[in-house]
Amino acid sequence: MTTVRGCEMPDTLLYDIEANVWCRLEDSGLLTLGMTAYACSLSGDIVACMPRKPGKEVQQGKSCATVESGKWVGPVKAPVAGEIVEVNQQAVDDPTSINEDPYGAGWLIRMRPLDWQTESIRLLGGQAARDAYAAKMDEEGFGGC
Amino acid sequence: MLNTTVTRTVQQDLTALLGTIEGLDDLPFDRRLINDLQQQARWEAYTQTSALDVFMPSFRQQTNESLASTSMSEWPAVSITGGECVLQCDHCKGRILEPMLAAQHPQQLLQIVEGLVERNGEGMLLTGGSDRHNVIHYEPYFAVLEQIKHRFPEFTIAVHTGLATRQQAQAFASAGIDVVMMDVIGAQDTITQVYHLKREVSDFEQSLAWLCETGMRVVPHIVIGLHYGNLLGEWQALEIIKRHKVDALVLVVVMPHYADRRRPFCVPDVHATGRFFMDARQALPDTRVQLGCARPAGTQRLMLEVYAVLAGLDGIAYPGDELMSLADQLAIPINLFARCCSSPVPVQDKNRVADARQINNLSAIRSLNAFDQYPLTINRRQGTM
Repeated sequence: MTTVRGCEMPDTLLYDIEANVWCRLEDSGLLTLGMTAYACSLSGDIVACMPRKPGKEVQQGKSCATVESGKWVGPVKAPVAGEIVEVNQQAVDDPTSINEDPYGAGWLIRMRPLDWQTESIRLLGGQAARDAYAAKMDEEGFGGC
Repeated sequence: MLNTTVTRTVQQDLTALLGTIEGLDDLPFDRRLINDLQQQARWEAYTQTSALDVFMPSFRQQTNESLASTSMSEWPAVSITGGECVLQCDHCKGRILEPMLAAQHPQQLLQIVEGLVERNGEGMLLTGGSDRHNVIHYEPYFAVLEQIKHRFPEFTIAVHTGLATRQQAQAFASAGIDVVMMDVIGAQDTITQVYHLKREVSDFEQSLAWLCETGMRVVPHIVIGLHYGNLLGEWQALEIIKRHKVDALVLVVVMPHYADRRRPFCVPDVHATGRFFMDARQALPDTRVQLGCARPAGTQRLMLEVYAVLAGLDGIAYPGDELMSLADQLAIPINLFARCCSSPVPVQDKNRVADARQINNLSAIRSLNAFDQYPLTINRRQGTM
């Protein structure tokens, strides 16, 4: 598994560096997304997850879920605009799965992107994502996962 | 006095209204309680000169889409024992202290405050773990606290006292502490079983009395659901507080996720808690009553916030965007403060915000309400999200 400062960053995913969100375009055309391991480390133990409902359209950069830990409450921002089609009820019922397996059982939302070709250009993957995250971690004084 | 251009529907159907707000629309609110709150219509008491005060101190990071949270000054929580607490109550085991800034030596506290002042910080919440008798040992810190208040008189210090002795209460006053807070427990079983204390309910009242006799600003807290998530001594605590001249009451709700799994807490019944908000408001009609920063997470948090505002509480810490939407719908004016809800609310700030309200755009007010006399300061948290 590829890591940056001890935070897992699978090469198969794309990342919205600013929003600290990963995403993966499925064969179905739907986009699965969730919090990165880095985001989970910053937030600490997550105690609640409240995704927006299926059918809701969200704009890029706007909240598609609210997540709470003991020291943080905030939005998970959509990496691209789209319609929410599915939420991970398991993560809602047991938010510890988000910390424990952010790229697997802890996924948050599936959405249908409105304009993937255009909006996905700003998302990074592979070495570019790792470099961007390393710079972000430096800037934020992050010690590591 | 301002004229508002927002009209408020006197007998608004609250249940129907809640059904139109995303995030609140499918929550299982107690219809009877909503009806009772509707009858009382306490939220209609919010006016431009008596707005709902919203508090966003920096000891918790909350990002709201509807609030200008990035324009906030710093207001951290500092623990004089770090994450250590000898008492090890069942509801927390010291875990609430862990994310706080640690100042385990008086000079460390001074350095923290100097740094805060340099970054235009407005104040801090000072607390710590207690001994086996629920006493927090501030004695080594009194001299430096006095020094801090002498050097930085505008820097507000709010101290969570634990069960203060008379000597401690007087020392806090001598040091110039701005506000003191303590949890008032009204059930002997809670004191014995949850806190493992050989103390009595009367000890809590005595401590409150000692704090009040100093003339300091005193803001007791009631932790709702402190008996393993059940409501037990809350009404007795309210009776105790009624007997003393306090400046405000802060209601907080126990957070079960901090409890030890071997002695678990349930989430307090949100509807019973909402009814207690109503009772507290009625019991203390002339005293500020506020919903503080601690409460359960998720949908329970959202429902508690709604009940608090409909019950007419004067202020709320860290409201969610859903609550802000409800406030918009009910035309409730908002004042936003980057400080602990126990601290005094500057009157001049309220006037400034009221002026801003004239532009009749609540979102803009929340942006304007960054208090130009408190320059923008970014949280010095490790990392941002």
